[in-house]
This record gives sequence, C-alpha cells and structure tokens, in this order.
Amino acid sequence: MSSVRKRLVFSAVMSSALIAMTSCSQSQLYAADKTSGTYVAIPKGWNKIEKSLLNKAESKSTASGAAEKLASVVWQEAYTTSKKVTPADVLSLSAPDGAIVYVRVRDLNYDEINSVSYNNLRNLIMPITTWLDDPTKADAKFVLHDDYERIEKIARGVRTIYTFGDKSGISQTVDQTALVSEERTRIYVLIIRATTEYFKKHAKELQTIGDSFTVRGNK
Amino acid sequence: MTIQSRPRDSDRKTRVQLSFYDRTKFLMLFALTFFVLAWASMADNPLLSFNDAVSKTVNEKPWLIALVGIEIVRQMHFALAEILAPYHGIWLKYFAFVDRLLHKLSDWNRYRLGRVIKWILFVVLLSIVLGAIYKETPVRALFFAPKALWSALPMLGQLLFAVFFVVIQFVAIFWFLSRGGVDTYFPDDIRTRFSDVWGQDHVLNRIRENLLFLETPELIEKHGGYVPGGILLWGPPGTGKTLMAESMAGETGKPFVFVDPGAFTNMFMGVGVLKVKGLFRKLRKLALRYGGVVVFFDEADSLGNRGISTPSMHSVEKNAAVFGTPCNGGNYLSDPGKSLVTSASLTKNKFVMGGAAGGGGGGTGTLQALLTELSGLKKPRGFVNRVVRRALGMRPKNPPKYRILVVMATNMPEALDEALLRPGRIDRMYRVGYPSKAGRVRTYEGYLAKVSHSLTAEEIDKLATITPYATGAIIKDTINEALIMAIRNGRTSITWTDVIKAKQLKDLGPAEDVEYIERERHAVAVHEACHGVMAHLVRQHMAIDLATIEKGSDYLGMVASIPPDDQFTRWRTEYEADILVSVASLAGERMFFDGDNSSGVSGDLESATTIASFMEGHWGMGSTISSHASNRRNEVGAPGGNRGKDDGTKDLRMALGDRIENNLVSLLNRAEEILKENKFKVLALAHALETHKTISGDDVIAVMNGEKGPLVDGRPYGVQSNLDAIWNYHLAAVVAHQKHERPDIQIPVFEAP
Repeated sequence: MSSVRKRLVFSAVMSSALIAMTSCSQSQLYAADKTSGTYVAIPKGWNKIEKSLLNKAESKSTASGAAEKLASVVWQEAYTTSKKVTPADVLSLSAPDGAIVYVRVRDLNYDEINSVSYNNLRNLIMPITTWLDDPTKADAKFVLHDDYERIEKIARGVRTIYTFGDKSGISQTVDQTALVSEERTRIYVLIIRATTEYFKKHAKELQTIGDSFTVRGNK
Repeated sequence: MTIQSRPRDSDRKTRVQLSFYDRTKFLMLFALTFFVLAWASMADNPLLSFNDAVSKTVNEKPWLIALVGIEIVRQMHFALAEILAPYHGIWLKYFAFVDRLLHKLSDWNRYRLGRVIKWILFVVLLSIVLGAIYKETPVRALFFAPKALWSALPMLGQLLFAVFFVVIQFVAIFWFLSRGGVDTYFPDDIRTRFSDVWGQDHVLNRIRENLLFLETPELIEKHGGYVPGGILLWGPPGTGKTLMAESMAGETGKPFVFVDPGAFTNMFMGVGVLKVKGLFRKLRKLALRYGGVVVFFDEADSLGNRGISTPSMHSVEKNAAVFGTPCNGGNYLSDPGKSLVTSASLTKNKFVMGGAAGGGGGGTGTLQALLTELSGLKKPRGFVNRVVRRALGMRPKNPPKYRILVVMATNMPEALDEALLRPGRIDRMYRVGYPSKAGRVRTYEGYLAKVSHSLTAEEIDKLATITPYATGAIIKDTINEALIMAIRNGRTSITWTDVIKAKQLKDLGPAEDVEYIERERHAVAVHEACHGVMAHLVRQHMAIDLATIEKGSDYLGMVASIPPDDQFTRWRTEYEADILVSVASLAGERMFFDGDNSSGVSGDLESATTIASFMEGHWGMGSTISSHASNRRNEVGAPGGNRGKDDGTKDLRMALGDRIENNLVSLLNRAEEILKENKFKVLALAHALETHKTISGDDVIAVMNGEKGPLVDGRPYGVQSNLDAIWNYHLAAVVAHQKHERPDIQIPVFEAP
C-alpha cells in the first residue's frame, strides 16, 4: 500500500471511530445515589420519577409522622414501565399499570433504631410475619415466594418476594429488599411491585433489577 | 560534483512528512484520557459495565470528543498538505500573508499584543473551567473565583506553614552550626600588657602607633587620612604573636574578639559565610558600643586561599633530607647556611606546596565573605534607615565609621590569600622574628624569676648567647625542663648544669642509649672530631655549642655550632669555612681509615655542594660573576662549555657543575692538609668523645688546648705519651675496622695530672 493510501485509510478509520463513538448510548439506566452509595440497574426505556416529585407526593400524606419520615429521606427515586403511573401511585398500594421500581434511603429515628429487626424489615409494606404466624389472619391471596438474607458491604437485611391481594382484590406481587446499615441508623429499601400477572410474565427482568440492588455506602 | 543535501522546507512543494509519533501523540493522549475517565465512571458506579462506561463518557464528556475531532481534522490537513502540492501552496501563501500583516506592527507592539492575547485566552479558559466547576455561566463563574480563593486561604496558609516549617528547620540548624569559634573578652578580662611581651620592642612600638589611631582616629582623619585597620603579625612559631595581640587588647581597653583558627572549618557549605557575617555584625555592634574593637584571627593561614600562592616572605625552616641523614650534616652549617640548603631542596617542591596551601579554610565562600566584610560596600544598615527613611523620601544615612582593628597572626604568610593582604584590608605587616639577644636575656630573666635558681647575670647572658634562635616559648620550655631535671635530682633550685642539660635534651632529643661496638664508636668519634677540630680551627663566625656521639633518633653523632653574635651578612671566607667543616668528615675518614669512607658523609656533602653551588652561581664567590638564578630565570644558560680560546679562559668558562666540583675538591684537599697537621688533635677529641659521649663547646676547646674544661679535663691531651697511646689505639681500631673484629687494644684511660 502506498504511503498516500495509508494516510487516507488512517484518516478514514479515525473519522469513522469518532462518528461511532458519538452515536453510541448506554444499555440500561443506572439509578444511583453517590452520597449513600446506593445503586440499581433499570432496563432501558423505563420512565424515571424524580425525587422531587416523590417528595411532593409524600408531603401530602396525612399519616402520623409522615412529615418527619419525609425529612429523613436521603434519596428516593422510582422507575415505571408505564408513563401513566404517577408519584402518588408509587407510594400507594393500588395495582400499577405495568411495574414500579421504587428505591428509598432513609435515616432512622431514635425509636426505629432501637426497634429495627429483620421482621420489621419484612413487614415494611404488609405484616407478613403475622400472616405467617397466624394464617387465619392472613390475606386470602397471600403467598410467600421467597425470603432470604441479603448482606451488602455496609448493610444487611432481607429480600422477600410475596403475593397479596389489594383492596380492589387484584393480586399483586412484591419483590422487596430492605437493608439496614451496620450501625442501624439508615434503611435502604428497594420495592419492585407489579400485578402478579405482569410479574410472572416479566419475572426474569424484574428479578435482575432486584439482584442489581447494591449498597456500598459513602466511601 | 555538487554535494546533495536534504531539501530545505522552503524548497519543498509539499509538507514534510510527519513521523508516526507526531501523527498519533495527541490522539493517544486523548484515548488515554478517555479510558481513564471511563475507568473512573466504573469505579464510581459498581453496576456500570465497560460498554456503558464508554457510552457514558462519550455522552458526558463531549469536549473530549470535540478535541479528538479537531485533532483528526488537523491530521487530515497535514496529510493533505503532504500529498497535494497545490493545497500546501495555498496554506504557505496564507501564512506568508499573515506574517506580512503581523510584521507591519513593530516587534515591541507585537510582543505586547501577544501578551494581551495570551492573558485574555487565559482568563477565558479559566472562566470556562470555573463555569464547568460551579455549573454557572463562564462570566458569572469568574466572579466566584475570588470567593473560592478566599475559602482556599486556610489551605494555602497550611501549605505556607509547611514550607515555613521546613525552612525554619534549616535556619535553626544553620543558626546552631554558625555559633562558636568566637570568644569576646571585655577590657577588664585581660591583664596582659605590652610590658609582658619581651624581646619584640620594635614591633610593639609600631603596634602602639596603630592603637593610638584606634583610640583617637581624629588625629589622622581630620587631615584626610584613614586609620589603618589591619595588622598581620607573621613569623616563626612561638615568637609571641598571640601574646602580642592579647597585650594589644589589654592596652586599648577595647573589647577583644578572639577568632578560633577552626571557626571557619564547617561541615556544611555556607555555614562559614554565615559565621563571617555573624562575626562582623558582632564586631560592628561592639565597635559602636565601646568606640572600637580588636579582632584577632589566630593562625590566619587556616582561612585558606583561593589557590594563588604569594611569594615567599621568609625562609622556610623545615626538616629537609639533609637534616635526616645519619650524620645530620646540616648541623655543621651556620643557620643561614641551613636555611639555604633547605630552601634549595624545597624549591623543587614549591608548586606542590603552593597547591597544598590552597586548601584549608572554611570552604567555598568563607574567605570571599571575609574579604567583602573587611572592605566591602559601605551600605546603609537598619530597617528604619533603609526602608522608613526612603519611604518618607529621605536619603538613608551612611553607616558610622566602625573602629575595628583586625589583627591576624600566622607563621605561614605565604598561605594567605593575596587579596587578604592588600592595603585597606591588611595595611601593615610586621615580622615577629626571633627575639634579639637583649630580648632573650629579658625573657630568661622573666621566666627564671618565677623559679628558684642559682644562675648569675653572666650565665644568663651566656645562655642567651648560645640560644640564638630561642623564642619565648622555647625559653619557657627550657627553663621548665631544667626545673624538672633539678626536681628529679632532689633539688628545687635550678643550676647552670640543669639548664645546659635541658638545652641539650631539647636540641638533640633524648639519647637512644645505643652502645656502639668499639670500632664503630671510634669511627663515629673520628668523624665528629674532624668536624669539631675543623670548626674550631677555621670557623671563626660560629662557636661550637656541643659535640656528641650519642645516637639520637635521626643521627649517629653531631657537632652543633651557634653564632656568638647576631650577624646579618655573610662572607666568602665564612662559607668556605662552612664547606671545610662539612667536607672535613670525608677528608678525615679517608685519611684516618686508609682511603676508606662511610656513607655517613652524604649529608655533609649535600650541604657542602649546595653552598658551593650558591657561591659559584649566586653570590659571585666563584670564578664567574653571572648569577645562575637570573640565568636560569631568563633561560640564557650558565656560562661555560669549553669554548674559550686559551687555556686560562677555558678554565674560567667550564660548566657550572665542573666549577663547583673543582671548588669542592680544592677545599677537600685543604681540609685534608689541615687535618693532617692536626691529626693528634682530631684523635684527642675523638678520644674525649668516646670517653664522655657528649661534651660542650668549652670542653672541645679545652681538649684542643690541653686545658681543663667544665666537664673534660684536657690536660692529659697535652702529654705526647698519651697521644702516642691514642695513636696506637687508633691503629688497632683501623685494623679491627678492616678485619671486622674487636680491636686488640682497649681505649686508653688517662688519669688527671
């Protein structure tokens, strides 16, 4: 090859490399909070609900101690498959359109620090330990699919997957990971919620989201 | 054939091809930066895959991609310029056009414009970077910079403290190292006065003059002169230079600063300079407080020089080879003769000595600092003077005249730097020589007054006469040694014998108590007796001090002479006498031992030859008159070479070496004749030496004249039968010498009549 052609080929390769680089994009979304060192990988194409919107929705809550809890939220973010899902839907237990992934990091107050236990973590949404102890009190559609301990670098807790029936009788499946920091001052929660039908259909995808939940802490 | 050379850039149609490195270096740098950033993203987010990290970096760092794009365009531009001549030509024309435009500005304006553009670029870049950091528009971000700087001040303070901490350690180390070596004595501390310095009145008178100016500088300054500020005292060791400086301080009533010879020898370079500066700061302070100060540098040669040796100012008296020979030939010479022999033998080592003298001192800068302080700029001093006055628009005041009298003492003036000795630094140089006879008498009296003794005034006078080169230190030591001898013998009072024995001990060192075998003892005695007899008979300008055959550390025996008077000129007859005394040993050995002679004459011959050479080549005491020294310096050659027309001229114009040899041979013959006439005297003296080992000069004379001496009774040597017995003993010793056996006759012993 002559030196002239060599130079032309070199220029062409470099230009195409540049164009290729500028046109590439990421394979999935990364929900990450560096201050608390919490990470989740979300499939590409999901919709993100910002922390500010969730905060706003939560601030409307009238439950006792809601304001205090909101004030101690370090980070929260939600991802949905459907654009119809609102921040209020994320925080409620009504059956969503598609799936909701909700990640939340919150500092515990003095009472919570003293009372936190694995069962507390399991009972974050539904009192499933009570249901398990006394099946007569349990929701009719309650099924526990899985329950195991998760240990991260600076936190530990349980991942619980179960099905329950909501107020309108629709069966929902929840993949819930709740971890508490080593010094028991902060709680890291990942909730993946969908109708049981949707959950079954997209089990693998939703499982992967739950597996990606990583808590490394602030370095 | 013309030589082919690589075409110049201006002659080329296309651009010079870039090397691979130049083509890719920025791209490689950008690629490296890109991967570092991608790696940082991955480290930031544990879930991030490599592909996603790359994508993230591409998306989040568009500037990097832009730089890569610019570099690729640049490289494509270069590639085109390398391939296409017209394309390259267009750009060349464009650059020439821009150059022409630019050169319409003057060089200075271009430079100023360039600086302005650079500054603007810097500010723009800074604002962009700050904008990226503060997530603001660049212009707004620029106003955040002072705030950022303010918030960074504590850290800057910490950094400065760290630097200060390091610096302060060095300052502390150097401060501690630059202490010491300088002692200050205040007027009341010193009790020494000029009256305590004996035998150096001429120097003291001069120094008194210096002190007068130190006390009342107006005397000379109002007439337009200046006060001489530096004195160098040089001379042999022990002559009282330090004592003189001490007395100077005692007399003035000014503080006296003593600088230790080792003060400027330091472990670290630069400490010497600090010491010098510190010393002079102190001197200035003292000078202002007390109206003057005397600083004394003892052993000033330790200040070293910068490798330039000054011409020798005095005769160096060191042990040359001639003084280390078995017979110690140098001792038969008068003192100036000795120094001649020595200086002649040292000449060949002159360069080496000069080089050696270049060492020493405090290392780089110390001497220079001293030179500057001695006569540096008269610069204004003090913060108020220099800064405040200037700030108020006033001229700083010049410093006052500091009355600092610098006194240096050395016994090696040739080792001092030339610049140190120039007027303005060292204005006056005084030789502190050996004390005069009156001075020696005064010194003996001074030291003897401190002990109990039975010496009469005549004896002290005689003692001063026979110790012509005794310094104060030597006299003090001799008296002390005499006292030790007296105490060892159970007495507390010093006698004449003690002093003489102490002197002999000091002159000769302790005898080694080696017992010669008889025939060797006789040979050594005859050798020394030849010197002794010859010295007594021909050398009128020197008196024999002692004769000995006791073996010392570097001699087998010796005859030492001393000049009875202080004499400053020398005559041919005296030098001839010196040579006769030197060659007497060879003449005598050959005469008494049937033509045989020992190697012990080597030192004698060296001395004799040296003196004969000087007589012939330097002093006009030979057959020619031209000076060999100047002949050699001017490279004209010595007269000689057998080119004369008749025999008489031929003799006169023989080569220098031949003439010296001739002179020596004729003097050897003369010595032989003299010894032949006095052979009994030689053997009598040899007998006295064999019997008593060491005898004084008076004893030598007593043996010669057959009289009673202080130690040896010479009267038996006036009786012919005794002399016959000595002669027979000598013959037996010669036979024993030849056969290497014991002589069959014992040495005769004579009863006193």
